[in-house]
Amino acid sequence: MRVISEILLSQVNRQREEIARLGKEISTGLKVSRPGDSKQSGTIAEFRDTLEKIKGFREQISNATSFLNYQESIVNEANQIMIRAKEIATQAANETNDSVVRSQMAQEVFELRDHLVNLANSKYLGRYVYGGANDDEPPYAPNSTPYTNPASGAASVRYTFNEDADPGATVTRSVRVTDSITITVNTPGNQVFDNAIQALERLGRAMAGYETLPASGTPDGTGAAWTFPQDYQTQTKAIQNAIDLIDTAREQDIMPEQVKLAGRMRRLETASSILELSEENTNEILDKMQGTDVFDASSRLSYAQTSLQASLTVLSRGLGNTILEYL
Amino acid sequence: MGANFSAKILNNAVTAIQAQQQVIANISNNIANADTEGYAKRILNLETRVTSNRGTGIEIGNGVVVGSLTRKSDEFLEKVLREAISDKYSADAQSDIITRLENLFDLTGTQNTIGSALSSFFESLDGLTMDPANLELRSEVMERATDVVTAISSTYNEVAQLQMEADKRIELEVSSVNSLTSEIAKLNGLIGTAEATGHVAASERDKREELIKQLSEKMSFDVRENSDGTVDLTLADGFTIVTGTTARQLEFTTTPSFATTGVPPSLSGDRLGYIVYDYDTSGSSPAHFDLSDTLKAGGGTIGGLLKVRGTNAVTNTSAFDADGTLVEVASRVESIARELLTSFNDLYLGDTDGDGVPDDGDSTTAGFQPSAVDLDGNPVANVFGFFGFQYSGATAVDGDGDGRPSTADLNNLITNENIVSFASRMQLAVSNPREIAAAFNDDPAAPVVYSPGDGRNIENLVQMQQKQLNFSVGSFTLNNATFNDVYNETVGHVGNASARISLTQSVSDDNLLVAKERRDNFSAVNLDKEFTDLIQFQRAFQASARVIRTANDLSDLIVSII
Repeated sequence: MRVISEILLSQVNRQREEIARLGKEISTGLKVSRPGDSKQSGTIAEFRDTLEKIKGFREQISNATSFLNYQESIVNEANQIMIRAKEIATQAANETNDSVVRSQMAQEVFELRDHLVNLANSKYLGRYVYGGANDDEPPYAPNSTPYTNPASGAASVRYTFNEDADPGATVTRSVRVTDSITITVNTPGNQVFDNAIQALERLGRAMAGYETLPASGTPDGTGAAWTFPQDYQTQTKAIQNAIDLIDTAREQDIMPEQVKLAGRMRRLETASSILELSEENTNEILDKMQGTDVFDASSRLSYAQTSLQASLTVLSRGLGNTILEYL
Repeated sequence: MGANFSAKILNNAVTAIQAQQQVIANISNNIANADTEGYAKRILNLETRVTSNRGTGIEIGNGVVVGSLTRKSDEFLEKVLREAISDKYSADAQSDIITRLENLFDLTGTQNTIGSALSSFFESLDGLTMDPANLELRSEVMERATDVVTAISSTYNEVAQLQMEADKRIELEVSSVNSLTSEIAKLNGLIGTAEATGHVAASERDKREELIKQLSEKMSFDVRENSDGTVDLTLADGFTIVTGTTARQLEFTTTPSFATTGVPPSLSGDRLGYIVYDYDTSGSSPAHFDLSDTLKAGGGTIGGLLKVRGTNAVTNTSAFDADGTLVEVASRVESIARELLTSFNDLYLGDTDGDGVPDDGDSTTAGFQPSAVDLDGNPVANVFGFFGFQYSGATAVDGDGDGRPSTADLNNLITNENIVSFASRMQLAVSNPREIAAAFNDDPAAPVVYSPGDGRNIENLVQMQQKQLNFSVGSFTLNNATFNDVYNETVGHVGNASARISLTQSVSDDNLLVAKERRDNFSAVNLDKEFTDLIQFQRAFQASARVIRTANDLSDLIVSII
């Protein structure tokens, strides 16, 4: 008699536990919430880890994309500046303009140069984009040794990259966007702007009537003032040389940088779609392994409830049945 | 002659009435104890009454007497029941602790676990590679690193606490074992004395059986009944805990006599107790005999708790040399902590050429100089530069003096400073966001020129998330695995342990019910049967009464004839 009641009671207890478990499953939406709930707990933990990583990578991609977008707009504008500078140079090279007109036109060239320097010194979230690792200082600043001729004014300012030769200025940054893809997110400013700024400086100075030495490479601040009309031909030649330099800067620095940026963005897009696919798959598998099938759980719940009622009825009737009632 | 017969009839009827009353009284006792735990049904055996006054002629018989009392108990069924009880209590004790262990390895993503903390930490490092000088991102790295440290140390400490809790419970169980065995020995005495006179000491036996059952909730043992009615209780290795009226008192001690140089530490740095018997009864210098492993192999609460808590040979020195689920899990957590302290910190010192070995940033200064620098251009100040641990001993943390963190350095501290675990002591070595060494010192020979936006060291460090490392603590070894691999393996391990014990638990529940059913079918009071017997003997009693009346009528008839 005691045992019958114990067996029935243990059944009732089990059914109650089952109901509680199913209730929890349905309310949390998870059939596995503790390691012991599944034989695949290790795998579930691994998938959760993968999802967490994907979340982080997607954030990285989004940050990197905005940063690269910003750089793209800077480089596009730099390209426009060079196009405009070439127009002015072509106009100035025309020998219908005398040295006085050329000198007047030089003002716009220096404005364009300053604009280009401003672009090269752009900040993103408070940091100089083209400063390399040395991003708390503007990459381009007027050199402490300006052009000797003229002694003052825009034509005397010699902009140079990283004058104090900080080794960090040429360090690039790489960002991990998936387990296997790492993307460089910045370019040291000298690789994009050095030739362009120098070309504009040579052009502006030539139009203003000053030679810039050495004849090729990075200007060192020397260069005498020309005397007109004797040096008019020299000036025209210098302007024509500057046009070549402008073309070279565009073709070898600015446009390749545009291509590089576009390539990086494409890689980010690829990474993003890989991650998206992987996230979808992981979610799907995880849902199968860990998620509650609500329909199944609900029907098991109602089955368990019915069983519990039946057991309770049997328990109450079974315990009352003794021969005593029939005596 | 007629009077003689009447007397005989009366006499027989009276013996019958007396016997039947006793039987009915016995039935009433059985019914009264129908629900008494451990009560074994009594049966009164009726026998033909034999008298010495044997007359001549035909033997008619002298009525009935209650010959003996049988207590319905079967040694085999009781043994099966005891074993089922031991199994169930062992499974329950283990399940209780494993369930709490499981809570530390949440799979719902709502708690800060070691796995989620590690993922978020590497995520924050990834974030810092975008803008290494950003103090907000640096603070984020510190926060996430603190989460890692907290998750590791709190998980480890919880596991260590569960081990000590199990230890404490074992101690309590041992003391209740001692009181149970004393009681059993006392009852042995009573039963021995009572049954020497030929009677069955049924109530004492009930009580003893009940106590033996209670004892089987604590541990596994064999019961052997002696001819004098006493029982001996013996452990699996032959050690007797109760012989006749003597109960051997067990002790729970952290200073057993066989551990001449002390016992190894527990996970928390305390000492685990050993269940021993002291053969030196004089008590001057204990001569302990270790029963821990024997009891661990058995069942009951003590067996179950010992299995989870683990036992450690006294010749071992590390807490991780012990066995048991808790130690297995703690070893894994500790291995994660030690790899963070060694491999991660090592790379953190700065590896400019990316060969996986930190570079000597300044070869002109004696000793190894880290090449990684913080936001102010300062090199990493401590060998354990990113993840550190609480420590104030005299031994140098860099025991081999090579300027780099290594397992050898940790082992040196374990040996010389009695450090049990690093997981429990883990803390962040970096105290403010600027101190995170994200950059490399490019020109150590020249005056320090540092680049705040340099994140090359962090770019190296994020690779640690994917790096295949060798993890090993105690008996746990997992080679070519990442940090998260070890964590996920741990989750799987805990899951398997939990699933295994749940299964054992439900099987042992069923076994116990079956064993109880079989035992009760044989020994327990069946009310239906008792009521039927009651009717039967009531009828018999009425018949005997009728016989008396018949004898009386016969006498009356004879008297009236006279």
